[in-house]
Amino acid sequence: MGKTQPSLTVAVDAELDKLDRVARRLRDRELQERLRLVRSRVRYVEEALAEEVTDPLEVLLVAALMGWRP
Amino acid sequence: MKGYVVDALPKRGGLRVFLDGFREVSVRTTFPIYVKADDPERLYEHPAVKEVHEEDWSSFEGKLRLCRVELEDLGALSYFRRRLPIYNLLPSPISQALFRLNMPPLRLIEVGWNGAELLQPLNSLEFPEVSWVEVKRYDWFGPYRSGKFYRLCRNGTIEREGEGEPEAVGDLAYCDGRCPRVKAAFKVEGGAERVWLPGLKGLMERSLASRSLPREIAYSSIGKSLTINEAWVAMERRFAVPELKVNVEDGKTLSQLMDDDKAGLMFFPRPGIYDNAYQLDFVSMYPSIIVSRNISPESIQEAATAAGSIGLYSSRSELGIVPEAIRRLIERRETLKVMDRERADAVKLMLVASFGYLGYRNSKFGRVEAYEQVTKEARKAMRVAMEVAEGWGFSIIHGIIDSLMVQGPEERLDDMLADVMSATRLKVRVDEVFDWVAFTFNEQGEPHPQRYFGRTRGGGLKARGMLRSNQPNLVKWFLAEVMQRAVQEMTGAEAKRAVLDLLPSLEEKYVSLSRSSSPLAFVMEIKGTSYIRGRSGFYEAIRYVDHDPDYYAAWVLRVSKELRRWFS
Amino acid sequence: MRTGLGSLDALLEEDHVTEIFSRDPYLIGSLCHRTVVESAPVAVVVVGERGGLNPYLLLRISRALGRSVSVRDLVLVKRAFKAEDVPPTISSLEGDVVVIDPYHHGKLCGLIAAAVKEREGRTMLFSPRDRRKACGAYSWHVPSTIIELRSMSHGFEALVLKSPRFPEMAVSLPPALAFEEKGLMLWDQTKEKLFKPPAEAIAGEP
Repeated sequence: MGKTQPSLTVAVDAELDKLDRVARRLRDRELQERLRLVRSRVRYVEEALAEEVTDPLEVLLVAALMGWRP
Repeated sequence: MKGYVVDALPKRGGLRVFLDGFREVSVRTTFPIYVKADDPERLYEHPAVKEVHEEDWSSFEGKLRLCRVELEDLGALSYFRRRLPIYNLLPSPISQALFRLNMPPLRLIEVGWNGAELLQPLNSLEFPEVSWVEVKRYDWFGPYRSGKFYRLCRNGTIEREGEGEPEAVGDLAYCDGRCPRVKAAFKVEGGAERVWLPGLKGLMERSLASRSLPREIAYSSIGKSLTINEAWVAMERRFAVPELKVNVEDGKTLSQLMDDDKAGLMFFPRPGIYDNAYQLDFVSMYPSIIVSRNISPESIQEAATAAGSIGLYSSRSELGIVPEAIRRLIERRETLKVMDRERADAVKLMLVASFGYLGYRNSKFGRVEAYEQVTKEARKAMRVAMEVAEGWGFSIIHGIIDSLMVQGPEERLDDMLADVMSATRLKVRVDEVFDWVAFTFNEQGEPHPQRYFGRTRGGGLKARGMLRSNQPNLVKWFLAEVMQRAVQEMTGAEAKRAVLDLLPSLEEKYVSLSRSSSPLAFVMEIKGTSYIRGRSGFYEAIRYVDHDPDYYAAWVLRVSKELRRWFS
Repeated sequence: MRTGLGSLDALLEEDHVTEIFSRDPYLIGSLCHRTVVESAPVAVVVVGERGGLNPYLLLRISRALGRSVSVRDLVLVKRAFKAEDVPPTISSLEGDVVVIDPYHHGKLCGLIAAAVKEREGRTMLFSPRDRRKACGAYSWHVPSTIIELRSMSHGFEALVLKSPRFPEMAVSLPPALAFEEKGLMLWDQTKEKLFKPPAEAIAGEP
């Protein structure tokens, strides 16, 4: 987190929380499980993107595309 | 008369200087202030002005013509401050006067009819031979400013402990509560000083390092000592520092802002227990970067003006003001580390603050571009270190800001380190060798980047972020006992087995203690105050009445569940 | 320069200096970020030691509005960390400028307002505080139009407190416009009804 821009981690978590809410309203178990998997990967994606100019959606996109489990 | 200057107060035409042993001398002097005046002759209209000298200085604004006004009465400073742009208020006019008189604070001097003579080099590392007294107060649950009991230390050694109000006499004194019966030429009583005060010895060291009276820095943040240190360098170079430095940032596109406005690298470790790990630390990373890359606000400004790009900084061979000031502190600390750890730590605090102050809005030597350049260089250095380490066959387990945890062949460690130092131009050392280290995680599987513990090569325990002041003592004891048992095993696998075997009985023990134990077990610190959770809620520990056993038992069980998760 | 909300933009027209404030920081923050995206290319002055501008929110709004060119290179940012930095920072910029929380420190208001007034380009000020209580008469005098945004139970309203063209009045805006930083609800400009003459506006927009 810098002096001005907010923490990428907090912004990513906020996006994930929103998607969790959407998944619950949709009552889609598979989506909830996929989001749980994405959540377990996001920190490592953030790490990998730390030296890039990035934003939360990009982090989520890469985490969703990843093929491995931590 | 030989002695050490403990304090000094201005009077008309001079200073009252207080030496150790409650001796006082009166010295004649004027006090220098620096103003920008269109008509220097008019300055003489004030009765306190004895002399005016026009001088050429450089500054953040470029070349500057200033008037050095020698005042007989320092009280006139406020008059000029209200009317004219004023410069070089740090070091203070009193400090500047003492320096000219060869009477810097806490240095051995000899005062005679012809003035004072300094009997030690100005940068001497000798500690003043004065009597300094510290009084710490405590109560049944630990440190407490209004506590019933006290511990009195003289010159760093416990002289006596007791109850009530201590009596003592010294040259300098610090009490963390009120101490009306302690007499000293300079005394700090609790509550007024800033939280940065790291003990009286630390204050005296900062006074020595910044050539300022203890009184001038005791009630300010660490930044003041740091800024004074930098201001001395500026004065040596005839660089004038305004009372208030106005900054206009060079514009950045949103992309540039997103790229520049970042903190240090923080990795997220893969949770688990790792055998044979090494913790590598960059030694004083941020201050070292400031010095080695010569990052200084005035040079950043020059480079930006010249090249129109924030990314460049001065390639001058001379160190900028801030790097030079920090270089002197680094040197001082390196030497003090061997002589006196406490004094070295006081200087370390100044170094730790040096980076933050580079970006602080009110800092006289602050500039956000310089601050961002330092963080950028720090992140780059970490990345380079990781690449080099991986090139030598090491794997990176974790990294936080200026520290890396790696696994790999021990026989290659020294070569790898040498390569990292060569590539980053920064000193790196092996801070710890672990037989095993455990990285923790929460219920969702998300890693805790700043909570880990492990067994060091010598069989000891090193833990970070595991025992926190806002945990009740009972929980801290529980965790400590588990960790102590774990580190008796040489490998992670063995530690896992040992902890899982131990947990059921230990959990039972601490749940039982949550119901009946000494009140100390239930104390926790929240924002500097000790609390206990009672049946009706939280209250201050000093008023202990009861505790809520279910609350503490639940906490123990939560921690136990976490431990099972980590060690499974 | 535009906020992207037709009703508000009609109130502001081409005023040289306008100010929008609200006691709801999310509301004013959202509108401010939207304005930056809608007005890009634009310069932004962020006042305060920390925070004030959320680049991630700017990018999200930009995507939501289907901007083909990213705001990353169209927004120029200068930060003024302390009160004394604000006037020279504002004066250093040409063209259209958005100033976020100009009176953050509660001092030097006159100098800040003077710097705004002397600018040649358009300036829009966004303040997350009740400007009736903060910061002196002169700073109120400088903007041609001053609007207060208020959250209502269903949506929000824009209260015109000062305008060269309109009397003091309230303009209701639909709930879909009450976007939050945490969950941006897309507002489609094509569906929004344009500002109507005063009599209909007082009745509130559907």
